[in-house]
Amino acid sequence: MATLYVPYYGQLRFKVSGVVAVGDGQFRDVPPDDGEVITYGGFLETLGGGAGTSTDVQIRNASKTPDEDLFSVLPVFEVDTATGELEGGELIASPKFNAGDIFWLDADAISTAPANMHVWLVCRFFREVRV
Amino acid sequence: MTMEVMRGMRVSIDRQFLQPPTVPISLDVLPPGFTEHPLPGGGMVVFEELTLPTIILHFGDTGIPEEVQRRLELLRTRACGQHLLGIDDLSCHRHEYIPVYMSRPPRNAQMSAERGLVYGTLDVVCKQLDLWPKMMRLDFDLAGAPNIVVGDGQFLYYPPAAGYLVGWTGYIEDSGGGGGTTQVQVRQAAKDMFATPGDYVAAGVGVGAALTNLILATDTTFVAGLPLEWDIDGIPGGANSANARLTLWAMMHQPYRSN
Repeated sequence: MATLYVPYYGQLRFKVSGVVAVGDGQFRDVPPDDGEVITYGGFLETLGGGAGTSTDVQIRNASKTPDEDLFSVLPVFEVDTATGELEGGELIASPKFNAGDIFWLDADAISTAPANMHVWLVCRFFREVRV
Repeated sequence: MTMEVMRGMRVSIDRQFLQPPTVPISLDVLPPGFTEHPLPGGGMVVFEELTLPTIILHFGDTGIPEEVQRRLELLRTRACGQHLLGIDDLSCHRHEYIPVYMSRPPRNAQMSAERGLVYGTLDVVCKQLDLWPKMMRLDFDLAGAPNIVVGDGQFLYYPPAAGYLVGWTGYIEDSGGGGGTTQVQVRQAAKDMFATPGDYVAAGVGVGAALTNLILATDTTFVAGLPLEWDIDGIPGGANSANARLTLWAMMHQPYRSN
């Protein structure tokens, strides 16, 4: 019997309902299979105020020891660009994970009263198939 | 994402391992595309996966011009069509097999000459075939207005195809107080999908909690066209939980068409 891995694409999705505050562990998601993060995106429904400020997000794999941040450069929701989209940021060199790892959404900085945040990771999962 | 083809990594096409010199130097993995649609007047963003995932194999070959041209031409003519692309990474014992459609690269492969030898390169684009069955994520979101109440069919998800559930996770942003849990069940018609309902245990007003206790039923198959309904079977003593998400992972089968 051989073990093969069939890749498929899916997302891990995070949200904060209502006003976003600075803090760790704001939303949690768990991948169903081993995989790796390919890219990411996000949308902030209410950008909030404060020229030159931004709402900065981090996704953290709390199942690694120590916790592993997925972004080496934080992606941000910029007030000034007014797009509402998650901009910039950089993933770490090897953003791989195992099935069942616990991911948390952290907000490391905020503009003035941002609200209703959505962040997603586009992932390549590997489904184990025995043949 | 670019991956170098390192020592200990083998690439095969239709289970035939590629041998030097026609071994890809590196491969690019491109995810499916998505777009964002902010709704007028605010609200939820909608995104769609529009393009198939793609893997680009980068080949490089060095030698005398005629030989390089011949080898790359052979590769080029064999590439077109449906193939099973295999990537074996022996360093982590991962054997990955991907059904793909390979498009035929242009005839004039890139060649550069140096000291009587040439270096040729060829890129073969492989579109991952959209195969069924496939894993899909089903999200059930319930804000509660202002709090979640007991009741059946509070969120409906119409599966686009038949399938069965293989996994779950969930999180509630406000688990509520007063003891007890926000208890959840999913059913299609009268068929419960959970042998043991899931619980978001009340940990305090404004405190989040992960979904626990849920055990999938032995038979979690569902059909297309009938909604999967999210029932709330219980709420905390303070009746003050809100903003729950239940995520189900399902293996979906190909929709059947009679004509």
